[in-house]
Amino acid sequence: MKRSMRFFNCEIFRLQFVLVAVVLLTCTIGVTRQSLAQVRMGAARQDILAMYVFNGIDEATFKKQLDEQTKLVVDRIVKITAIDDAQRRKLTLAATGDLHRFYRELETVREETKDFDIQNQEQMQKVWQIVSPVQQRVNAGILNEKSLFEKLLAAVLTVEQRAAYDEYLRKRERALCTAVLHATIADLEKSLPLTVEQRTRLLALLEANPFPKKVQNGSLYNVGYVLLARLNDTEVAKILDESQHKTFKGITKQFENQAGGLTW
Amino acid sequence: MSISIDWKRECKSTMILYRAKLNHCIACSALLTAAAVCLSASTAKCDDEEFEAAVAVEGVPGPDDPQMQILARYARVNCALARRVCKLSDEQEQQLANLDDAWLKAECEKLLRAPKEGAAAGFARFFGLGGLAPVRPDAQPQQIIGLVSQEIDKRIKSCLNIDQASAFNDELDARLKFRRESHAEVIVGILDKRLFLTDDQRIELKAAISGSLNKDVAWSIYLMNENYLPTLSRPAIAKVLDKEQLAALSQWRNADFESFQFEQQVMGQQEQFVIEK
Repeated sequence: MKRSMRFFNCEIFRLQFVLVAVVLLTCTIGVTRQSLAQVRMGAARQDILAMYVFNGIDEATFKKQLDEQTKLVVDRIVKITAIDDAQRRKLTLAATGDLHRFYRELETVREETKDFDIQNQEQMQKVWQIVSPVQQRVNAGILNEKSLFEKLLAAVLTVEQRAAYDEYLRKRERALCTAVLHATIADLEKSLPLTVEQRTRLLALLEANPFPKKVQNGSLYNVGYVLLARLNDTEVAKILDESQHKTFKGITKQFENQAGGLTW
Repeated sequence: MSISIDWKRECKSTMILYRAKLNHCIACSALLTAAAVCLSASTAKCDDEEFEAAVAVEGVPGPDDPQMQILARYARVNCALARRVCKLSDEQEQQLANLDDAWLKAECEKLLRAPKEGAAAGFARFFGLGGLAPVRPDAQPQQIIGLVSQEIDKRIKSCLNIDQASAFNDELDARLKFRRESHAEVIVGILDKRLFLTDDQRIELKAAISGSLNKDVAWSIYLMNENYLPTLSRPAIAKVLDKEQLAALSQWRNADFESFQFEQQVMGQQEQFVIEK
């Protein structure tokens, strides 16, 4: 007893004991959290819609996010176009209608896919054919050009309100195209070095040229190279030296005839 | 209490065994074993020549390797930038010419062969703070590329005089700033589609995001998968967005795609146009 008391009274041992306990506790918490996360992921994986349409989250959360997103869109349009309460009510109603129609579609897809085995590759190919249109709709946004909301928006807005909204959309599209163009030049500089002065002049030349009025989502990442390829060669040669110009031509040549998905 | 640790590192390709021989109280063993693992991972001076050779063979990419091609391109482009920023003498040109594939290979070897020292590094890694500690770069190709790229820039600057090096450095800084800002702009554009940002918010958000980006993001991947965003600094964004917009951020999933991952795949598959000189 006396011996064991001495053993426990050892300060160093006590400190070590506490440290080991803390390390073990931390490990246990880590493992438990990981296991819980795996269980949750496993449950989500069983649901085909959660896997392909809900972006890995459960249906209730997905629908809540869509509802909030729709409310945000209506609120923003109200701010941009300064529409009145009656117009707002109509838009909200149309947006709610679009959402409910989409939720009904989801139910149909769930019904059609409920008996498929997600472990079976052949069956999953059939599932994909059923699910992919819904997934594309989600990616394109429920309130897209074909939605009731968009149709009603076109009918509800006055000429001035429409102009304000179109101007907002135009500026947003332009900002995104400019962003892609800048990122493309940043990528270009991994093969073709530009001085600050050359970059500034090249950007100014690009800004002076027309941007596409509309870019489809799938073509957006290419728009920078398409814009670079459309530049007047003589103008480019004024900015770059011979070696740079040769490299520039080599990089942009493949994009000279690529204008698919762009409306000028 | 005297404690002595006698450990030996045995290496066969990637398998590493650690042995801790402890001379005292049994209760110390758990802590000391952990300490020995940390210390040996960080301070190991490998006596085993076989291990050294294995690392050299397995770790260093060959000239056709995508990683080596990325490095060779970086070196060539930055030398070309130095030529455009500064008027170089023949002697300086000769020094830059030495920055070739053999030099790059030697740099990679040097990095892979030199284990980082310091007990703090081992302890930091043990407690999950690997990012704070110097890490042997053989496990992470992007780390090798990052470190060798720094060496390339250092080497180029060493060939230049003070004024030239300063001018070259300014150009590198401006290029990096432009790249980070352009990536931030693309992320802002993706957010804008769903959040309906104002003009001011676009500008402020770009500044907030570019300030927190420390890697080259694969921006085109995010454009094609608009449900994903890189991990962004929430406090920085929260200052710019309103309550509804912040709540709407939850619809994006975080995934950090780096441009390096995709460049590696493209290298060797497509014709590469890189500046000659």
